[in-house]
Amino acid sequence: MASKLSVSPPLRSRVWTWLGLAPFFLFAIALLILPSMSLFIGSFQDSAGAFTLNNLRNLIQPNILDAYWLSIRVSAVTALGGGVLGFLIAYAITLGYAPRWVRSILTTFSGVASNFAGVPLAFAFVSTLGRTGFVTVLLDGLGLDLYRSGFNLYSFAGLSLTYMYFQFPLMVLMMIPALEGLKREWREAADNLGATDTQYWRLIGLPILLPSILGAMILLFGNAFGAYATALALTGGRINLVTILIGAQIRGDVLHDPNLGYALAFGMVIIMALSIALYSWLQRRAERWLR
Amino acid sequence: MAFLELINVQKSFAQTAAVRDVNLQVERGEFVSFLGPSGCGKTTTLRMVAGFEHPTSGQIVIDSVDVTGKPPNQRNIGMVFQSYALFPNMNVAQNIGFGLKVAGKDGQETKRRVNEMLALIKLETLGNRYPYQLSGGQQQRVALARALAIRPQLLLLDEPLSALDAKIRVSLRNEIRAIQRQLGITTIYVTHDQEEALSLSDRVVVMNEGRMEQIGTPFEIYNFPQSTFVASFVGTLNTLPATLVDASQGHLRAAGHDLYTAQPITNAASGQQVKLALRPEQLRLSQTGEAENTLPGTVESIAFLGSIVRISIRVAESTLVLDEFNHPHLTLPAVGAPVTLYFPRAACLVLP
Amino acid sequence: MSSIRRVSFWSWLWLLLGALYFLLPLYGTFDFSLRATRGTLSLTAYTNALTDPEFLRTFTFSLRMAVITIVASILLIVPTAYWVHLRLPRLRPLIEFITLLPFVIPAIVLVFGVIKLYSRPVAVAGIDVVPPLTNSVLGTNVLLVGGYVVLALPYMYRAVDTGLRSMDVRTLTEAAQSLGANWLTILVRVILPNLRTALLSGALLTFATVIGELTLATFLARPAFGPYLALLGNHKTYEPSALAIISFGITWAAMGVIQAISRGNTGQFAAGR
Repeated sequence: MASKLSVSPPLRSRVWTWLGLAPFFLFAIALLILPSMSLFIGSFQDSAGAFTLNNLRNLIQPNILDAYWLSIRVSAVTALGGGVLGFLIAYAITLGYAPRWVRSILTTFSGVASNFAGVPLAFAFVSTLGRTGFVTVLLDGLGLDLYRSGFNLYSFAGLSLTYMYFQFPLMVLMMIPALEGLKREWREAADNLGATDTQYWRLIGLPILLPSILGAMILLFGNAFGAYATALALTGGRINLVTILIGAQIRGDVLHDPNLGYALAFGMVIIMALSIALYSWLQRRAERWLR
Repeated sequence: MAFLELINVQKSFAQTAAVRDVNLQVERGEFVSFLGPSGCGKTTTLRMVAGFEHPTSGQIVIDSVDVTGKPPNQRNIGMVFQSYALFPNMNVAQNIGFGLKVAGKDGQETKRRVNEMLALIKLETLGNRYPYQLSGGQQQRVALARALAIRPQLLLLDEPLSALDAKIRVSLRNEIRAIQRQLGITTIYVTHDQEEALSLSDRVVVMNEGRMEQIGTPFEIYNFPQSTFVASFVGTLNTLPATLVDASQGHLRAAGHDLYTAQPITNAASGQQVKLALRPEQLRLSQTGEAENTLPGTVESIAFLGSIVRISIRVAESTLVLDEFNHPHLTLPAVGAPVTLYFPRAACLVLP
Repeated sequence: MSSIRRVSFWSWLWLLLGALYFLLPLYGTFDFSLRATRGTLSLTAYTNALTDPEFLRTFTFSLRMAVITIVASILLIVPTAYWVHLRLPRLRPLIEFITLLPFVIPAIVLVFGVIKLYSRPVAVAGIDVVPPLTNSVLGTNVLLVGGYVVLALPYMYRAVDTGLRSMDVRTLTEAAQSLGANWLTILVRVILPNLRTALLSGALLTFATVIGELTLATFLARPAFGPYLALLGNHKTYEPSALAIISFGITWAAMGVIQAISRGNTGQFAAGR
């Protein structure tokens, strides 16, 4: 193969070049694009296959709107909560000059925890905050009856708490490189020009970090929005999230209307796509400054 | 009374001494360079003056005020960093005005001062640009303006030009010096580039391994180096092993020949082995004056360097380098030809 | 600013809070898992869980799927990333966009689409190109592995991309070519060995993801470890906690190895939730 890696290769070489990417494109088409398109098309069809906008109209049922709203709320709360806690911990690790061993342990733990989702996580929280959970019993011993005072693991609060377990480590992992991107010289230059700690953070540190922070939080939002396994394992499908609804449609429970399911999925993809687009845009802005 | 005084300043990191016994007095309005190789402690010393490092012992006094314990944001010193350190989220005008804003100056005054600075660095039209839209040289000028905007009592520059192209470096360093003269601000300039240090400074501090090797004007440092390190770091230097025959007569013996210096030798005793040091531009291939020293040698190689022709000549066991100014009618000896080197007595430097 | 290099009170507070949040649920689970025998702490739950024949069956199934996924991912991604780096750098944004798609299309949506599409023959111009994959065990397994590769795509690709960026791909390739190597040789003998760290990280991450994955496995009705775990949660009390601890231990081991070999290269992890 004597093809040169030069400026304008001959036609044969160019065909080979594009061919090299064929397997990847074929894979992406077969397992990402076509299934999504299939859903997309299905949401505009009725059970007979004819074109209809009914599915989209049916999305505007209180039941379904509630589900979207609930999903959005859970995602927003855990994105915000996980985002703030994650940022503070990342700050403590990087600029708070935590000792090396703390940093490496927390980073590994963050990697583990951000992956520790789904069924095992649900079990873990049930064992901790369920009716006979470790912390519940502990608090009961101290005189605080958790469940009597209204807390329930299998509710919005409980679900959010559980989601935070993988949200804030993810934030930590994303914020560490961003915080490290804050050049020491900026801090020194600001000091040199007379700025106090607060002035530095207000005028330089936070503004520079803002795109990264917002971007990361939006990623967290998308992360929670698309979560299924954890919610299912924790609440057995009783909490009405969009992902749970979709799962129900696949299984054929309750209203067996697959086309409505396709519309649900389609709606979800739109929301995820918007999140990812926003995230990418913010990432690019962040990179421009943290270069 | 000197404007800036460094008194017995020491700095150690863990077990290593990065800076040792630095004693310096800088007059108001003086431009002093710290010159030395990487790791010699020049940047550490500068950072101690700025307040980013704390001296292990010693004092730093600015305008009769002991600032050794003061945090950097209270010293009113302007610093220009090697990497410019411009705030990426602010445009040029905001960067320059940052120090004033932080000090609580009102908007009008800040604006006036910013415009003054922009005019000083000749970038009046770029006030609204962001750092990533500027070239390296422009960024450096903005960094300078930002440091000067707060009317600091001292200006510190940490290798400000090392990230720039050679041509820009030369023009920018001249600009920096011109601005410094115009404002009369006391300046410390750290660099490893001896051409920069020599061409810009009123005085040069040559540092090596944490110690000050020599302080003097560029002329003194180049022509009267006090140690082998200074002699070889600043400019090219030829050395020839020699025996000191008679110190009071300035009589040396090298490569089997008797040589004489212009002055009696004070830094070594008769009978000692010394190094005879000669600058390349002092050597000639033909006789030009009276009472000159001579040494025989063989031409090893000839290198054409543009305005200079560098001829390497083998003398006994050593190679000496001779620099001749280039001109179209230059006659050069052939490689391998035997030649005689002529150099005046005053050109001889004796190093221990 | 060596003068201010102390850890502040607030920093320690946040770190403590974070540590508490991490550790409490784990401790709770561990404690719970030891209480299978009334009145005493024992490992009964663990022995019960591990000796359950279903456990072995589903765990080995997931293990096999994980290995196949890792191999398939490497075979798919390494040549692609290499090719893009070398020949088509302009296409990099497009490829990166594709690797972001799995975030836009979460597992539950993906499996929905896959089932819809592949429960019937896929026809191109009237000819059945792909038979209904969901009708056969092999077909469904293929879909499962495919789905797993999709889930692993973002970080597998990023790991390989980072690895390629840290070596001068173009020069190495030209050097190898000038010495007479063909493409296969270059990939296998020059590129792959230099990607060892990246591939190991990606492989371990994929492994951790696949082992516990629930969504794809449930809806494609495959006997994987995830669905087994979920089912167990409905029937037993203590065994699920024991398996959760084991699960955590496996993930921890995998991450620990990644951390050790990549030494601080943090990445973004987002697995099947």
